[in-house]
Amino acid sequence: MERSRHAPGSMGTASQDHLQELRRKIAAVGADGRARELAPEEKTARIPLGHAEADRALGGGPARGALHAVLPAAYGDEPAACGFAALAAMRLAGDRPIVWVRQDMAVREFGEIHAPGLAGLGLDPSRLTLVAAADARDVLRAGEEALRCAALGAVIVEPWGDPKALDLTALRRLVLAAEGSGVPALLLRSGGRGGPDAAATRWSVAAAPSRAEAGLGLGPPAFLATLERNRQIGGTGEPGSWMLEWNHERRRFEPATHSGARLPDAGDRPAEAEGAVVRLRA
Amino acid sequence: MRAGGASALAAVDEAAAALGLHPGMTLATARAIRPDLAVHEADPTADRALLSALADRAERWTPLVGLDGDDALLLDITGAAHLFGGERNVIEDAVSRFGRLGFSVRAAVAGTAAAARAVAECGGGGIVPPGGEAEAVAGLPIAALRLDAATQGGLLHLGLRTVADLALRPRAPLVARFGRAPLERLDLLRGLARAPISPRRAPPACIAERRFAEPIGRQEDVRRTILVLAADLARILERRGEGARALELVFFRADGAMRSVAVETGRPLREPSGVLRLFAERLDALADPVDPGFGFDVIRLCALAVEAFSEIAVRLDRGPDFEAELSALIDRLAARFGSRRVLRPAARDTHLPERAAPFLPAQHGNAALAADWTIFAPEADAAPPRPIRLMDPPERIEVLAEVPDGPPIRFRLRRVLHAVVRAEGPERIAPEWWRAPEGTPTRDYFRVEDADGRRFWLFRDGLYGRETDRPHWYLHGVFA
Repeated sequence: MERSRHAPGSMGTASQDHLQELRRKIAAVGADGRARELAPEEKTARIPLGHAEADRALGGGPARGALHAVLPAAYGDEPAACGFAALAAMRLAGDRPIVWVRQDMAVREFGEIHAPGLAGLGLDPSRLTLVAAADARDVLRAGEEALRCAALGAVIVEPWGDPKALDLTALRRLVLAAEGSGVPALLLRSGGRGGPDAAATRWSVAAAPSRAEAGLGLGPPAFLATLERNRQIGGTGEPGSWMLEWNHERRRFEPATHSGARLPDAGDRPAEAEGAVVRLRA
Repeated sequence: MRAGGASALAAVDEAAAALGLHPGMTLATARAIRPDLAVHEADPTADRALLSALADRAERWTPLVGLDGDDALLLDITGAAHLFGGERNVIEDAVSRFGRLGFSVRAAVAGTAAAARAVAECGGGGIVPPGGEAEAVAGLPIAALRLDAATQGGLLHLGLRTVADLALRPRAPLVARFGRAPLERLDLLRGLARAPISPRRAPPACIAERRFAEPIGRQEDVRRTILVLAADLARILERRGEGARALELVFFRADGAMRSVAVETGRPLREPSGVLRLFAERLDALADPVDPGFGFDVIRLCALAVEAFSEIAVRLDRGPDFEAELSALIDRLAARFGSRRVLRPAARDTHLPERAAPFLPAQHGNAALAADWTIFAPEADAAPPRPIRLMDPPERIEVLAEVPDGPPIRFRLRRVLHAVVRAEGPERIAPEWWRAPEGTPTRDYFRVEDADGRRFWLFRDGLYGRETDRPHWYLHGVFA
């Protein structure tokens, strides 16, 4: 076999980057060619949502191997909660597959998950596997089974309403599965109002109006996301409430700019400059 | 049985046959012979179901079991008889097992199915030695050929009473008079031609089985057996360079009852622990669990469908193979919840939103992987063109529009009134004329946002003025 004639130093930056990329990928492969299980520190890693202030409140972002609950703020906010959960799952999943377990009842109430709509948010549907569960018990069981599969990037668990099966024990089982594998669990509480809580973070999500300058057309998806419970920082993190807008190009959440003046780069904006959050509804 | 207006006997048991009763005899005649005759209405459907249930039980000797007529089972025991210590034992086992269920059966083993049936039916059963078919059937009556009544009558009229009588006759005149059927049947009976039995179910690609002198029933014994069978099967599959895409586990209880469970896989599988895990999920999820009763004496694992097996190549340039583990997870979920509940999105080349992206069973190919989803990306600083959830069917709503063909200004959905603040549209989607019935209206879609920022995908069904004067409105989806 011929040895490489290139001295390491003679490599161009492009091939250096390529090498870096290869190293990263090889590191992710286990001895058997399968996805390597995450190291303990990777399992608890914080993945930023992109919104600087929200990420700061979470100590860097939602933790990977943890349960994150997403509730609609009111009846009619299910689509917003659904979108927020899907986008958060996508942020957390990296380039790994996503499993979405949903209860049949959720489909009857507000429709089946629509792959072209996910694609429109930047989530590649070919990464998605859907489990259609007949009842809440099956949702939890399938969710737990999926969470144990370390190759996944995220699992969205979507029961309907406030089922009895969704008790503290069931939630703890999800938490344990997520912590064990390092796979993030997003508990999307479509049609749900409350109930027991074992999640690391709990979000209440409402729809938010499109940006003003978008004229009469609809702007990018916007959310009013309230972090109601935050156990990520030493058990008692600060709650908070932010206007988020999804940036499709950069695949991240950014502060929504409803003042009318679009900022040059939302990511560079100092967090303090964001005004008080105002609920825009009656 | 009712024939020609008079009730007649369809079948008789041994005692009745001893009295001279026979099928086809009118009920009046039979009653004259034996006034206290026990008569039951014939029920061919029930008979068929019963025979089918017996065929299930007969699968303990071979997976290749066919039904023959209304009253016979054909078993292909080629290569299986030695498992039972010879053909004699198979026959004795069959007669005694069915006897215990209250059936009197006659059984025969022969080189062709037709010969075995003839010997069992007309010759008292037994074993025909290899090549001895012609001799074994020679003395049987012409009825053993199972020809239609007219042909049989014609042959009897010629004085041909036995199979041998027919075999000795020159063939050409027989063909001229009766057609090919009698001689074809004759060749089958004499072992000169073969007609394969048509098994009730497609024969498995390969099987592994274990028989137990002491029936087993404990869960851990059953699990261990499944693992051993899976290892046997893996060796066969490995030799053939194949993996299983569909597997069936068949339990035979010592009392004869049979139960089978099947699982599917998304990729060719042969790893024994993977097979065990799938069946463990499946067995655990059964609403009606497999009951060992007094124990299973045969457990068989069949690969129903196989496919070329390729070792998963590690593509370092693509990073780890998430798909392999995802595929195993999909198989486990499908084993528990059914393959129709574990899905992946597919993209169809159609404008109709409800048909554009169906979810299809994940185990049956990955349609999503080939699809081009980028066409659904939004323009810069705009909302995605398609909703995140799609109503099926679309939900009827009341709409107030400024002009009949304009966007909505207000609409009522589930008793809540929404004021439209922003609207985009229309996006016109015409029915596919080759699929939709004549007169299916064109839809005008609008993306609207209400005062709270909630976004909806609405459409007006029908072009105002051209297709309809009072168009209906529907909610077809919701945006994030």
